Formats: sequence, C-alpha cells, structure tokens
Amino acid sequence: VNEKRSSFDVFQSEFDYLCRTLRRLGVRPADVEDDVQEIFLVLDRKWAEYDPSRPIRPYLFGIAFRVVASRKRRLRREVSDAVDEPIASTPPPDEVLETVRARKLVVQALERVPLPRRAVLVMHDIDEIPMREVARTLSIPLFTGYSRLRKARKEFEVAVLALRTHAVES
Amino acid sequence: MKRAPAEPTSPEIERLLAAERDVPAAAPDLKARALEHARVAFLARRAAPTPTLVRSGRPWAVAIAAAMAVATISFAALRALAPSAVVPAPSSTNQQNASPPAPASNTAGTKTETLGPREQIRNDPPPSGSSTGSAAPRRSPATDAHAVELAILQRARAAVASARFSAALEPIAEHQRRFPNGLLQEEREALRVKALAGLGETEAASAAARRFREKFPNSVLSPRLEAGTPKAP
Repeated sequence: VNEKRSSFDVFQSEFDYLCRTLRRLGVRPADVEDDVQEIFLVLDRKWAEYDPSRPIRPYLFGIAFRVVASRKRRLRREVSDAVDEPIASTPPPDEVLETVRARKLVVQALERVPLPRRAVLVMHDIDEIPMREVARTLSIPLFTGYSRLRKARKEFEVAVLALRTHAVES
Repeated sequence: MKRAPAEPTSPEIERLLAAERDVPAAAPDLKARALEHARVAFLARRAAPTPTLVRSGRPWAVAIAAAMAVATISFAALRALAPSAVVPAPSSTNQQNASPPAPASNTAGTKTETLGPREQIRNDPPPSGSSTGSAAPRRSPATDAHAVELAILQRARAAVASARFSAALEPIAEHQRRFPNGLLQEEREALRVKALAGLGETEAASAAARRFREKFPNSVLSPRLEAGTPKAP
C-alpha cells in the first residue's frame, strides 16, 4: 500500500509525461483531456496494487496504453488531425524551433506505426525503459518485444522519410 | 543507452528520438482543469463507497459526476463564494446518498456532464438486515484523514453559507492547524476570503485573496473569489 505517496501526487507530478505519452500513442490533442482523466481513474482504482519498488513511468505507460487501446477498440478508428500536416523543410531559425519541428515529426511518424509496435518503440527508444520491463508492462514475451521493436524501428524510419519527402514536395 | 539487439537506427532517427525524450509541459489550462477534476474524484473515492458505474463513452465524466455527488466541498466552496449566495446548510452531514447535482449547480465551469440515460450511477444496496453505516468499506488512515478534512470544512462552508462568518473562522483555523498542506487547502483559503469579506474585514480579505491568487494561480475558484471580494481602500 502506498500510503506516503498518493495516486493524486503521482498523477500531478507525472501529468506532463502522461499527456505526452498519449500524444505519442496517437491520441488527438482534443481527446487528451478525456484520456488523461481516464488514466487517473484507473490509477486511483489500482493504486493499492502498485509495487513502489518498480519505476513509476512504465506502470503509467501501461495504463495509458490500455486506455488508448480500449478507446481504439471502442471507436474502431484512430485518427489524427496532424497526419497530413506537412513538415516545414526550410532551415529552422533557432534551436527551439528545431526541437518543436522534431517533436512534431516524431508524433506524426509514430502514428504510422501500428499501436502494439508503437508502444514498444516509445517505451524502449524514447522512454529508455529496458526491454524486460517493456515486455512485462505490455504483457508480452520478451522475444515478441524485440521482434516488435525491430519492425517498429523500420516503420518509423520509413515514416520519417516519407514525411520529409512530402514536406519537400509541398 | 544500451541498444536492444535489433536493426540499428540511423543517426538522423537517433537525433529525432533524442529530441523527443525531454517531456514538454502540458498546456496550463488543460493541466489546471484535469488536476482539479482528478482531485475531486480522488476525494470522492475516499469520502464514500465507490458507486458501481455503468460504462459509457466517457467513464471519467461519470465518475466525476459521482464525485460531485459525494464530495462536494470544492463546489460547496464555490456556492459559498457566489456573491449573492446564502444557501442553507445541508440538513444532514451524510452526503453519501446525495443525488447527482442538477446542471445549475455545476458552478465550477468544469466539463462535468449531466448523467444521461446510459450513464446512471448505481449505488449498490446494503446487504439485507444491515444498516447503511455497517456496510461502509474499510478505510485506510489516509482515507480517514481526507474524511476529517472534509468534515471540518463542511462546517466552515455551512457557516459561510448561512452568513455566520465569525463561526466559519474556527473550523478554518482548525483545518489550517491540522492539515496545513491538506488536499483541501485551496478550498480552505477560499472560504477564509469569503468569511473575512463577510465580516467586513476588507483589508484582511483582500490580503487573503492576494495570497490565494499567488498560491493557486490556476484555481477554478479564482473568478468567484475575485467577484466576491471587496476592494481594500
């Protein structure tokens, strides 16, 4: 039982991470608020089951992933209002803008990777969570985790190239 | 980072992924709203047994509606803060069986929605032969603390609502003493402003309002507070 740190404390301190994770998982900006609230309800309900010796972010990612997957199953659709947004090909005026563009490109490219593989890619290559923990969080065999990662990296790279090309052409 | 035994990624992809690793801050207004909703839901679960929720398209909205039905201190504070509102104190301190609020009582400007036909909250009946009280779930020390916080501020809220402003200061002081950083400190400070304003302590009310704004810059209570606080000469 986590008496010292409440579910609300965790939700508050990891709020930015949760919102970004939802975007990485393909949630539209307009739906982030609904989904982040749903994450809190799940987190609060299951808080007594959380093992505080485990890192919190993989645990939160697992909840976020299930919320997003559940929504996807429910709605049978996954859309993004940013998919066709071109990436500017002109040189950035400063480093900040470059970072913003890079983030946008990452989110758009991630949307082209199927959700189960995208989750592995985000957890491992962005959140830098060890593969064993990734597999545990997503309830998949370790081998499947590596297999998904390999495919996801290829898909992601192809998506980045396609988006870059699209930007240059437009 | 030690790479997993998969195909290596190109330097460009590595740079992109690295840029994404720093988490940007969420929009402040989104954060303020979401945290306030979460806080109310958090308190509700600790103040009353969890109602059984019928699934809907927006389960969190249903839960927040339930939250409003059982742990309404935030919204009670808002009602108390309304410039012309002198609402009667609740006839019973047991809020657990309260009905979901009517739309008009949703004064917080939140996204909480009225329950539709598919979004009914079902409070499971107590076991036959048992009293309502005997069916209460086991509570943790933290849960008890939240319940005590609620009870203290309910007294303050009721006093403010019935224009007994000096009577409100005692529970406010008690809450300050026992829970200086409690979950309901925001509501406590809002009630303090209202009580001081009601007593005609204009300068003290303005100072308290200023401190409130500094400490809770994104509070949903701020607009009401602003409207109901007299300006210090």
